[in-house]
Amino acid sequence: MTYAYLFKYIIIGDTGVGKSCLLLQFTDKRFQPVHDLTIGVEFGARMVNIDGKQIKLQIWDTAGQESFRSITRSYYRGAAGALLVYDITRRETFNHLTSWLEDARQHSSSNMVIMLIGNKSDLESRRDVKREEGEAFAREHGLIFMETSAKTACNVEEAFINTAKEIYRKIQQGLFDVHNEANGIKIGPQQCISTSVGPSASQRNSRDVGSNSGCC
Amino acid sequence: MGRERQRVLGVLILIAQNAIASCVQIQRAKGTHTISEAGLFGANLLGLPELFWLGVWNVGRQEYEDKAGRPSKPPSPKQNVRKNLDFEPLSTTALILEDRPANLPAKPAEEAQKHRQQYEEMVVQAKKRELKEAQRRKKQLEERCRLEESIGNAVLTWNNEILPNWETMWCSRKVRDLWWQGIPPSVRGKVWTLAIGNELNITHEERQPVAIKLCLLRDQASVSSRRRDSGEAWVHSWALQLPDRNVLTCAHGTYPEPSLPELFDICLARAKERWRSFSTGGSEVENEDAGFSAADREASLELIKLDISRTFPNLCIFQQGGPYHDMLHSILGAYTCYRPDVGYVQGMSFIAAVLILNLDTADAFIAFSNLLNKPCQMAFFRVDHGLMLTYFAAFEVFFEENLPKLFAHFKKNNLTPDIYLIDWRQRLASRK
Repeated sequence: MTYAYLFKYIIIGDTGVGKSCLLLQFTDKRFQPVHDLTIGVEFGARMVNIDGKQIKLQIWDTAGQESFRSITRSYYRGAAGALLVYDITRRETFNHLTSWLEDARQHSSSNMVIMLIGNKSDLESRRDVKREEGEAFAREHGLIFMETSAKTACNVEEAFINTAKEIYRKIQQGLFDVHNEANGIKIGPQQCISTSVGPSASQRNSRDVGSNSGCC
Repeated sequence: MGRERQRVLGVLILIAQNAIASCVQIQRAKGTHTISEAGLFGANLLGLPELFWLGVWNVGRQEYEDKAGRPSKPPSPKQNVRKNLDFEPLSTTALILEDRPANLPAKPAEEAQKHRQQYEEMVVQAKKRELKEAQRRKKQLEERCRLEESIGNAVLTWNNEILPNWETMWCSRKVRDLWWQGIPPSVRGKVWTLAIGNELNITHEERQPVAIKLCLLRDQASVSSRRRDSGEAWVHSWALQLPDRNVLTCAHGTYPEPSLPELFDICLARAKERWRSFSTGGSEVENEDAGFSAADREASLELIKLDISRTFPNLCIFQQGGPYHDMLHSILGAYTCYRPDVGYVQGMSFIAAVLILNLDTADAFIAFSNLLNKPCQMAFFRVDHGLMLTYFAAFEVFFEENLPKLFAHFKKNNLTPDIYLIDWRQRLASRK
């Protein structure tokens, strides 16, 4: 399967916020309520289409426990995008965002696009963190923000794809050096940047998602 | 292909063992063994924990494949039917050639002849298939009998020859070969217990404070007179009497080290008290275990709860309401009290779960504590990054030496051990 670019993503956040479930929903379009816990790092990949270009997202899903932080830090290297996830029903996962963000900023390329995600938006009755708080945090730290539900799939596509769009925008603005793999971007095999990639068989797997569907 | 992959995995596992062993060497820094010796006796130095897990893995895989039908075998009859339904009936009993109904004109002789011929061909085909299917079933049955017989023989060998002479036999070639074939479920617990050993029962200088603390606890609560398996209700009522505050203030004097089953009860009782005070919001136990804040403990308890639900979820036996939920909870809780310096770390629940499946609670706790106490396990469970890097480096040396092509391929693709070895190490022990 050919692609124009490969973006490396990393998913971070406290344990149990739904990182693996978000990934599974995005790559397999299914929700597993009881998911095996992640130790070390696990991987997922999917093709998306941004502006008519096939882009492969290679997603690193990390362990959330505090003890694993020293290891997680080594996974930031060469990531183009990060999904920083908290659980809207557990305030402590929101309170820990600052320290996650510090880690992310410190161990990644300065151009890395960070998407803040308040997950489990389907559990409105148990909500512990207001949407506005998430928005304010994102504004303050220059992040993109979305509330998602890995269970209902609400905004999951959008979260991954909007991050890709932002990275793509940065590439076009010349902010990313696509030839330096340390930035988390790889040019696809047999591709040169000027070639435009037409729709291929992988098209059926990907959708160009427009603006927020606003289901959350 | 599958076999090849298995072989490569096997070799990688051996490399991992060797790497682990050499690290043990490095760590002990005695200089009495060479690296190659370390490789040879790698598993021995560890008390064979990695090897024994492999035993499980092998038997587990075999069991799974028996259930699922071996991948190398022809597809199941069901699939066959679906595939061939259009032109090949499954059984001859379903084949009856009838003439046209009387109210319709009869077939021309030529057509009737053709149909008869087709019918006969179909019957022949169906018979062939039936025969094949019968042969396949017979073969499968024979294979199952053979497997059962070999497991039965293995049980005898383990019980009559190996277990009584464990000390002299455990490192022999014969035992090792038998081990690789998988330990039969009925002796698994015994073999594991012996293989892991119970080093922690030996008085150890650095463990003394814990031992004393726990002895004090035991003395004050006069647990020595209690039986270890006297039930939940008792442990609970006993937990109420535990004098937490006094523990740290009188850590002097010499006390005999408590045996681990008792220690398990002590730790479990303490864990229960914490859970209770945690759920009622009490602050009674705030100042114990200096250096480990209440917040840490809270997080630990929450995490255990969260992770138990994510431990082999497909088996549905460790989750809330499942038969092994309380046992798993107890072991993990007791361990965090026994080793507050280590606490609960993700991944432990899987190891404890596998042990629980083969040992009773107290024995599982002993095996769990001792296994986690092995240098390699400790390094990974404490997520001691520096030490882990040493293990990674040692692994790479053995990897390059044994599988240079694959190693080069990994290198070319920037596939470093920190990406896969943490997960592999965990998988060797328990996961999936």
